[in-house]
Amino acid sequence: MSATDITDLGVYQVFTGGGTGSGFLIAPTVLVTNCHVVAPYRQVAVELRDRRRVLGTVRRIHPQRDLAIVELASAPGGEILAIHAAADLKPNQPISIVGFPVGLPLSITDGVVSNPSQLLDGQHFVQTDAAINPGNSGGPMLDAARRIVAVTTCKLRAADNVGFGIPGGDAQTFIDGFHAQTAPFGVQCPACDVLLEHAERYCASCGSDLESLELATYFDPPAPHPLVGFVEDALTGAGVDPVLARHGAANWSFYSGSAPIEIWSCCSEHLCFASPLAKPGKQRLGDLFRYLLGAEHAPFAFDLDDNVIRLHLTLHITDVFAHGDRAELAAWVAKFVASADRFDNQLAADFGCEPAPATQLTFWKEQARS
Amino acid sequence: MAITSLTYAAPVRRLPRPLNLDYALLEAASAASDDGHVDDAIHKVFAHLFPGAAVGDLAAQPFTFVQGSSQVTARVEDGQLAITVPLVRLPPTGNAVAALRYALTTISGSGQLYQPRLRGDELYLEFRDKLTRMHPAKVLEVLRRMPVEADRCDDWLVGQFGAQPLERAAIEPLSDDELARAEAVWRTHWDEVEELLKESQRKRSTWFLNEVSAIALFRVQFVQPICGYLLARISESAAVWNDGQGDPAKREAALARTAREMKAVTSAELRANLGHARYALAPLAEGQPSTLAGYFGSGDYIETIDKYRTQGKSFEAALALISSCTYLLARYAWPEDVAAALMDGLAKAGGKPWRDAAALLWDHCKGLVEQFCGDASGGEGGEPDGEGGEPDGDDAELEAATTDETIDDSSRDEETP
Repeated sequence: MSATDITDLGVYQVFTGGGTGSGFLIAPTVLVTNCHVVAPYRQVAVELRDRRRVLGTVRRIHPQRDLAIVELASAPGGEILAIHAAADLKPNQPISIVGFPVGLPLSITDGVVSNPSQLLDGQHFVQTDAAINPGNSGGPMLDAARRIVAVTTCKLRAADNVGFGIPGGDAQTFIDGFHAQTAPFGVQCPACDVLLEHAERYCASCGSDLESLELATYFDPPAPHPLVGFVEDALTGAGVDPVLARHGAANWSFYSGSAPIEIWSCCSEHLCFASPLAKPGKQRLGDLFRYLLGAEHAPFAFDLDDNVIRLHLTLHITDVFAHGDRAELAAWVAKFVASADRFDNQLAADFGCEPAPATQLTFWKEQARS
Repeated sequence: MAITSLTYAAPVRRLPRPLNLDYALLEAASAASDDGHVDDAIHKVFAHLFPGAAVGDLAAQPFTFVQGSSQVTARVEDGQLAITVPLVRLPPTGNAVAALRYALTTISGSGQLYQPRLRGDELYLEFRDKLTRMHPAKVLEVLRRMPVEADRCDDWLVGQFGAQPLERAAIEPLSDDELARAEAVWRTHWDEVEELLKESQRKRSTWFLNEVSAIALFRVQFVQPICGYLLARISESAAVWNDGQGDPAKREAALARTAREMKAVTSAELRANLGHARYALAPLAEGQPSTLAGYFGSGDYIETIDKYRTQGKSFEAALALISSCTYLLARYAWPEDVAAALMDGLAKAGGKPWRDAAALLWDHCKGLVEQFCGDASGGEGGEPDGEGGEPDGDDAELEAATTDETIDDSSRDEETP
């Protein structure tokens, strides 16, 4: 498949407060991914090619088979690929993995089927030598006919080129079960596959002790860390949907108008807000730099990161726990969101600045640096 | 002809002694903060960091202290704690733009609570926040980091861009005798670094290069009361050649360039960059018995040295022991007897052939552990990482292929049967 081929596929990046993964459409507003990509979140964000995000509601999860079904608030478009359920894969058969490795835009890697039915931990997997990286989870493994033959799930850490996918047949069984059910949310019993609609100690069908499998967390997700709670409350107050902004653990990214905004915790002490706004122009640099360093912008400041002007704000972790000041700090967050959208236009108008090339790479680089 | 030994020179620098900070004050500050006594909490943090200093009511009387070339002022005004360090006055030339770009690129940044601020043509480093948000941990962080950052930046701005010093703290000049000794040591040091670098290129060993680059940097910091632009230049270039993860070829090239440039430094230039600076805040970490034990007690690093020592690689072993002792003296403040013992080892090994130096320092360093470390003698050590063995099947782990930067990976790993 060529690069242009994959752009139109109904394969999208899934964002939660725990990380990112991949997923593929099985209907215009229904997406399949891994359970470990979405759990324990009940709402996730799905990013479209133009980087707009759509809210997704988790409808089904199967912790044992590592599958999940997410219903999207609107149809993102893209080709819905057929699932090939037949167990007729052959060793050395070409295979392609489509997804979002390490958070990069949609990518494809090729390999072959190393073992069509590798037994691991009591379950059968499609084993492949195609490169699987963090972020590929939940994406499709395609055969030469562009059929989904497996759902990418994991790889062996201490080995090269040993990756695994959930066979298409198992994925199809899971999807068929979902279509036959009406419950808004459910977890499939790891032992007998029956649908559980509430947290139960023992499965009513097979009697398995479900507490040891920590199923309750899927029904009643743990409360977020206070830092996460603070940011998400503040974003809500600023008119930003925090679910759509989530970009992994204690990380958020979204646009305020034309300005990209990134929020992350760089260490145990700081909560950082940054918005790459513009590149300095060729003229009036002295005036521009004097404005950035000399005008009153507190509590915000500007810096230059790879020649990109960033508006930034750093909070100390103890600020977040100073309950008396939470309202004021939340107001800072709202002001930051509004200011970023204003400043990028102002810098262009007043100082001839150029638009900043904002890519996901800047976000990853920031995290690597921290 | 290959270098056969390293010289030792006693420090011209006045070795800092541990300040014996009262950590109970810090705990008391946290308790006061939790009880809502913010002023008391702030006062206790200052008392912890500046033992013996008279810190009064910051609203009535600002507290000023000196950190190298920086003069730091802390005051309370309008319900806020304000900490300010004047950096420089911008040069009247085109270099002002470069200086401002440097401030925006290098001094300003996310992840720090203080930022540069331009007032007219004067550049300051500033922190300002409400008293009600002054948790001791926050005050401590700003007081520890901001003056050090200011001390690091002002010399660069002056030396590189021609900025004018602004309210700079006085640095006591060296006596003629000290200066003569410092210059002699300086010249010898960079000559020896060049010779060691030739050996490094011949041996093509990253481990050896790490030791050479450590000696190049830490012997200067240990011996010389260096400050000013020269220190900033060395620090900047050392970020390349003393980076153990960097490309060895680039590191060697950078170190060769630095050695060449430092040898070309004139006497007048050297004089202008040497002096006994005052540091209100301990400029070095306090050396602990566990620190010594970490290097010379047990662990990968000392085992590697032992392997070299017993397998006919005395050069490597001696160099590592010398660099370790020098590093410990350069980067930590030690009680007088420990510092004297470390210097005694270096003095005894100075000028000795590698084999003799390695044997002598090995015994000496092991003796240091016995003498000073007591129960800490089994500390973790090991700069160099050990070679990883082949993973066996039982330990193989499945890695879920989601991205996740901060969550403990183990939460999502499964073990294969």
